[in-house]
Amino acid sequence: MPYCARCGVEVDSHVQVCPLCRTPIMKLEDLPSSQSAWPHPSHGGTAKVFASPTEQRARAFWLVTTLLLVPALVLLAVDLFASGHLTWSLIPGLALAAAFLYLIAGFRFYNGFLGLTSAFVVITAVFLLGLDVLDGPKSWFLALGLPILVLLVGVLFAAYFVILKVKTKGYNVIATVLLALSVYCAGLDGLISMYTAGLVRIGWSMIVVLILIPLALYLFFLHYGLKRALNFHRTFHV
Amino acid sequence: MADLGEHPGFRPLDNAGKLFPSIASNRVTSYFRLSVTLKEPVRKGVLQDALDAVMTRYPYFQTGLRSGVFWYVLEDEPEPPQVMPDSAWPCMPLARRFRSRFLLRIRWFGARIALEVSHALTDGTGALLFLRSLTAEYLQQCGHRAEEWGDIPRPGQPVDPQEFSDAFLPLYEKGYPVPPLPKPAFHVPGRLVRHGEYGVVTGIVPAGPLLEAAKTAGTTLTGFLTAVLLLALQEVRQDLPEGRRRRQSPFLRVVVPVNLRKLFPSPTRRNFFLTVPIEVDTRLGRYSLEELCRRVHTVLQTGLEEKVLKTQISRNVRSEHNLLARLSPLPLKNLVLSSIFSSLEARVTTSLSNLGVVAMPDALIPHIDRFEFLPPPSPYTKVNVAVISWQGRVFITFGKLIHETGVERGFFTTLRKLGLSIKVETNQEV
Repeated sequence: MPYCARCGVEVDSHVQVCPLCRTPIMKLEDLPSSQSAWPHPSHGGTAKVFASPTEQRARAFWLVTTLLLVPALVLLAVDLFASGHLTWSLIPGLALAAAFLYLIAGFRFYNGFLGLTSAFVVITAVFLLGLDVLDGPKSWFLALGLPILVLLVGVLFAAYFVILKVKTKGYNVIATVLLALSVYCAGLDGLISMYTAGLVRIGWSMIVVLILIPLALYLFFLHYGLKRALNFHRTFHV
Repeated sequence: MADLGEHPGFRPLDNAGKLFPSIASNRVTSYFRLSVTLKEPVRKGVLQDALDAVMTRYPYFQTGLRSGVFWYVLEDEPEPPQVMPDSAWPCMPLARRFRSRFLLRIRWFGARIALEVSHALTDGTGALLFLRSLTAEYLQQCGHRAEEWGDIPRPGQPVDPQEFSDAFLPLYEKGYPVPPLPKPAFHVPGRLVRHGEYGVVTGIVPAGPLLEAAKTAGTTLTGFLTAVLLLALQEVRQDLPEGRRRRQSPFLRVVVPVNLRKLFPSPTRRNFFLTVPIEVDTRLGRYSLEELCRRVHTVLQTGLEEKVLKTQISRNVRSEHNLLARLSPLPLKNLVLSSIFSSLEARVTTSLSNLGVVAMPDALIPHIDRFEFLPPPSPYTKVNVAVISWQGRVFITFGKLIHETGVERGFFTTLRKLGLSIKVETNQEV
């Protein structure tokens, strides 16, 4: 009877790897081959009780497409029928198209943070550009929409990578989030004042910054400083 | 069919069985499995005939589950269940065309007959008795006669109504104290397998040397195997990264089901068992196998005292008699029982159930290769152990819902280091 060289347990002659430690089992040529005591997973009529993850995603994709496509077609049809050309239905139609693209990106890039985030950023940029084109003569995408999107994505990525890199996670994670929020609010305030008044002016965001930054610093102290301070022997070399 | 109650056709579930339909899900199926492997391939037609005959002796098992307004009930079915082919993944939900309201399934593959039965219907002792009857009747119909069946019920015998009584109820004393709620226990980490899969790893060990090892350790076979299991769990916990280990509970708690029929004689075939929890606090240091054997032996001795067991009965039956519980509609009960079950499972690391040595008529022994026992799946405890013995061999089966093999590897390598020879089989062959 073949056995695992690592665990020392015997196995049937048809077994290729040890069931306990996955070590390959050495083949003994003169032994009659045995058969598994269990049917193949495709036999017994119970194999396809649960859909595979791929099948589940495919079903969800078609369900979502139908749920979004039908209202979009209804909107466009009603608008066309009532006014002879497309008017008010363009904006909700654009929103439904963006929702559809977000869900497609989710299905496609579900297991990759960078891919998913990049897809979301591109779709958001296209959605904002579409809104800018449809909503009237005054253009705001390049002056306001795109910079805010870049600011948001930049702050999010920076916070994500900082949190990913820290060895021990605790209060420092909350502190990093608060810092990121402060930077975002200050940047947002500056961009809005630049667009409306033509110059960078920090107004309401000062209140946010004055609250969040001291709180973040206190949380950093709790995480990094207090541990050291409580280590009496190290601090006082006793 | 025999009339077994005031309202023929409808029977309530027993106290232990009431929990299981409410918590049932794709992974918590509540089905456990007993199987017998014969020396010749199974003949499907004969198996069905044998099942039809045996069901007349066990009419209370020919029932389906129905939702009532306040509780689930068992409703008699007019025909016995049909045997069906076995699957690579036992105790899992069936494909639509095989589904029925029966709470047991008879499956076959090659030379093996398997009985998968829900804990809503019966426990291991009741299920094993049924399988022994079925096996004896099947072999008889194949031409291998045995004059005396011993304690195995056979078709044609009268059915005692007490066989379907709820044996917990007469033992309940109002006002009896209940046991304290233990702290949350360590849970084996691991990635769950896909829905519909259930891993089985069986180790076959010669009974003589194993019993000798248990005797040397000063404990019973169940106690010895529980100690080895605790040792394996201790190693799994110790191997975790420090941060992760600190976030886990330090308590290893293995529950050992106990057949109450030995302490409180009853002919019931329904659930009549309780569990003895055996706990180890890892904050006290690393335990050796000898220390674990002593500890397990002591706890099993005290845990099996009548007075101690009655505290559990008091807790279980008291909740059933609670007026608010009785008047709550079934959907609300399902929600509450599901969260109670989650809370209970959070306080258990794993279980080890030993059904003991299987006895069959002497004339039929040469036609039987082995018996095996598989515990019900649980996504909370993830790995559970069941033990059964036949003709000088002990079959120790791990039922697992995770890919990792740390627990069973630690268990069997400990037995190997004690000089025991082990053969391992699995349904998760790569």
